[in-house]
Amino acid sequence: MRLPLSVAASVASLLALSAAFAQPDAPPMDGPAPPPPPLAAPPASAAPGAAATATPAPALPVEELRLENGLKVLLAPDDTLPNVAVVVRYHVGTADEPTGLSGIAHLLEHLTYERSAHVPRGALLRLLADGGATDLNGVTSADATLYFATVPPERLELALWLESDRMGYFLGAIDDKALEQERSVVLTELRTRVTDSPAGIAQSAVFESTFPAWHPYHESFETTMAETSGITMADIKAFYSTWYGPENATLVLSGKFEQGRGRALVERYFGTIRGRPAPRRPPLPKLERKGPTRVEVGANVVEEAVHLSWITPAYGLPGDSELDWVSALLSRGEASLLSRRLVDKGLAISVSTRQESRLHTGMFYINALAAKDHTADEILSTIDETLTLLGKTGPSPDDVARAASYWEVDDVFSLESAMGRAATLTSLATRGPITQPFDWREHGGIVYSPEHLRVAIAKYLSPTARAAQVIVRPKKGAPLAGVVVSREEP
Amino acid sequence: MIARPLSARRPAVSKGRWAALVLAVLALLAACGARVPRLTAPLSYAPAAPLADEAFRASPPALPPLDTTPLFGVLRSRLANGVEILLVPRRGLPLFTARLVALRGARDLPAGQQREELLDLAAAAVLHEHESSPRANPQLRPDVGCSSDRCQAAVSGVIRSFDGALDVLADLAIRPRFPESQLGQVRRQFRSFAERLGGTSDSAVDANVRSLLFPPEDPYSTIDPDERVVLQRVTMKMLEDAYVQVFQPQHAVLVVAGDLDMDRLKAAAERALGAWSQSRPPLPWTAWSPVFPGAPGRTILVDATGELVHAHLVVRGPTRGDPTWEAMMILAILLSTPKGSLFEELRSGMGATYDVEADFSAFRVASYWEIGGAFELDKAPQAVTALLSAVRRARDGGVSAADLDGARTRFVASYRSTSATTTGVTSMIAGALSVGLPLEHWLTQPGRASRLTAEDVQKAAQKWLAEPNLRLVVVGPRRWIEGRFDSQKIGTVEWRTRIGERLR
Repeated sequence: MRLPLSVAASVASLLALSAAFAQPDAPPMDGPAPPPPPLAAPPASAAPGAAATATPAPALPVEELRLENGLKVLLAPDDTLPNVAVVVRYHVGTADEPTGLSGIAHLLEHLTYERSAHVPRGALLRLLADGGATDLNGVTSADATLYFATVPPERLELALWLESDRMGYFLGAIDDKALEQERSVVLTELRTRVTDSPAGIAQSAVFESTFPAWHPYHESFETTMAETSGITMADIKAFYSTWYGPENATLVLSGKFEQGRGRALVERYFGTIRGRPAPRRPPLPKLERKGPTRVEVGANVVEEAVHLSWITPAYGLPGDSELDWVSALLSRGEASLLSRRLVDKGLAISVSTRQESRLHTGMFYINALAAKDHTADEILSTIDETLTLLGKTGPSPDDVARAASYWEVDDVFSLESAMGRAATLTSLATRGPITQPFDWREHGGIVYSPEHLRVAIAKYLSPTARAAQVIVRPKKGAPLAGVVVSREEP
Repeated sequence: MIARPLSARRPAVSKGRWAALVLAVLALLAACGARVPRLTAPLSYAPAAPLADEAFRASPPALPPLDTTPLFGVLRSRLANGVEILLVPRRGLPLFTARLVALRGARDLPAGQQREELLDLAAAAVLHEHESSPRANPQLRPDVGCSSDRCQAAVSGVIRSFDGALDVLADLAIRPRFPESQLGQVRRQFRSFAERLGGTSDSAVDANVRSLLFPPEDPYSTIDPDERVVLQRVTMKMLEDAYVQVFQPQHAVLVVAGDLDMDRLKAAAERALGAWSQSRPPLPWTAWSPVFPGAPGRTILVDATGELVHAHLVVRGPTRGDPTWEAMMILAILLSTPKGSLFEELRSGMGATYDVEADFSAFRVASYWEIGGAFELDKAPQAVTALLSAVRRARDGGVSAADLDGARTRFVASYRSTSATTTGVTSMIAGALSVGLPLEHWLTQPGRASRLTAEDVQKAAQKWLAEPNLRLVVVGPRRWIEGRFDSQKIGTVEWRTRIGERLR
């Protein structure tokens, strides 16, 4: 499920927003075996033992439209907010990169900021920034590419003018100079995130090990670096032409704007952009694993670390929401189960968990940093014991109540800012049409029973079902980011 | 425009044989050593006929000026024991954020206790004890944190939990618990902090900037080895003593934003905080500025194993109330504008970096201003030359009207965006009070910033960015930084450790 915006953050940080937006969507599919469609409604009705939380869904209006060219538009006006968030989500991400073109979705995201027919080179970012945009960024996730900004109400039309040029007038304007320039920037960005970061290789080893090479979610840092270097202008044009049309996009406006004016501006700037059919994704065979891939990384760091992953249900499917709860009761707050067993006992400095929902399948992660004088193996053993025990006896009612409270509060706080609201709406809209009155709560105000969560833990998170197990060990003389010392396939 | 329902999804069709065939082919490819293809949609490039080029697309729409009037009012009251109450009413969503701010910090403690790490450890211990106890209410999000200038306990939640929230604040600030059973946890936490200090290139830059700008004994400076030894042996008594001195009613302000009125807030505050009485003598409010440690002009080199060179130009800046305060803030925004001339030169022109950042960090009695980034190994010296040129251009040639206008707009918009949330607005108010600015100063800041002229900004640059004031901190692999920054001629060149200790 969507990672909620941090209540503690003064403004939604771009990192949190990136995570918040990293939601899958359900594009049209073709062929014999598409994954089951995401649920159109929150899973409350399907959850035995589910009850309602005490805070009702906020009554905030949403209008959903489809332009004739296929663009889906969501309008959520609210005069009490001081600004307006503009989000354009293209339903294409790294999972759609063909063989040999790893990195093209991210490179294209960069290029679309460079120029378009009516926007001179470099002007898009500058016009938005100098126009007072905050939360200004683009994000490429596995399933989607998002462009977003929070602008003062006086700059809404500017933002729509720029986004419509990106959607309709990019192809004729882009040139080789921009491609070479942004290729260099993207490679630097990847180095900043992975090879210039302590044990940075470990996280990419998780993605590489969790999915087999044929799977769209398989990612390899080295391959992405190498293939990004070879992407041509023809590749860029083909990728854009295939995926960046109004029929494959959603536009969200949320915050201070007058609804009629918002509708008119959207129609003016986006209504005449020609639509074309969105492509069909090939069906995927069922993903089965025989056991975890074990990777050991040696890095120039102080502490040992553990990174674990499991393959879990896709966004909106039964099990996905439950695993959000499991994540909360395992690592949210100082009283959470793994915090008590690892941090309080002095075995670990920190532990975090997350259910990352995606279109084809979800991933559940556990990351922990060992305390000095303790080993990754001790951490691993405690995590396994905890999950095995929970799969047998289930969490306590107190732990479940704590998780329920976290989501109840998160679901309200995520709506506080215009961008938080837009992120929530963008995410919820991927489940299906907006129903009225619209329930803005990501978790639908439900409360799961301990037994329901026990079943989810036993089914999805057993130690034997693990997909990847990456261990980081300090190694003098190794690079800061680390090197893979050993890899053991099941 | 036609509104219509979204199309129904295609029904799922089971094709087990197809899936088995696909997997078999993939396995065969893998067995032959061939590259296994990813299962993705094929690309198709079919350029469509040109779109209509409507006249309104030719240029940006007209940009009306931004509204700079304050977006909210602040209601004030006071409890009988002197605790001031500030409320920003926010209707719409049933939530709130409350902060009990102690306007004293490590700087105000007696000699020997003036380390923000000591107070912050105390804060972490209090929070941990509360969160692990049966008193913790999962409906509420508590937090406690301390710095050189202030401590604050905060709590956020849905409005139906509000009355209990102030009891949590009282628990954290008035009735803190420091059980001996937590000593091991506290010491582990500090050891982990100390061992990882300077562990990333960014934190090595930060540690070196602070040790370069502030004397070692100053709370703004990086903690030195002797102090680390003392804190490694910290006791719960030491933590309690420091913490209790800071959280006293005569230093405290309660700042709340949310879906409630002053009557309800005051009633809840009287009940939870009304009996809070002074238990320690008031701490004096320290207002003197720390002196520069040694000669200002220096280039600091730090050996690190990353794949990029992190380089920051840094100067000491104005103190609160100085007329150049806002100009330095605007100058930082101006120089880090995406697609501004410096950004263009470094990122697009040279391909040297992903980002360039300028920042103005303001504390109660000092501030510093910096500009820098993480640069490709072979382009770092060139990048530093570009940073220096940009700083000199702003100082000696002034800033353009267009750049200034953009920076002022960004400042006003950012202020408006931050103040839109209860966490943001209470954090901004707490921050302003912590550095000793009156609330009115902060409420009128957007108006003042939008009236700044190019001359104001240049004067500030001339005052603070004068050549002898410049310092350079470079963190990167030795073979990529040794001897490569001498030609910048920024004072003497010194090698230091990742935590700012001088190497001989």
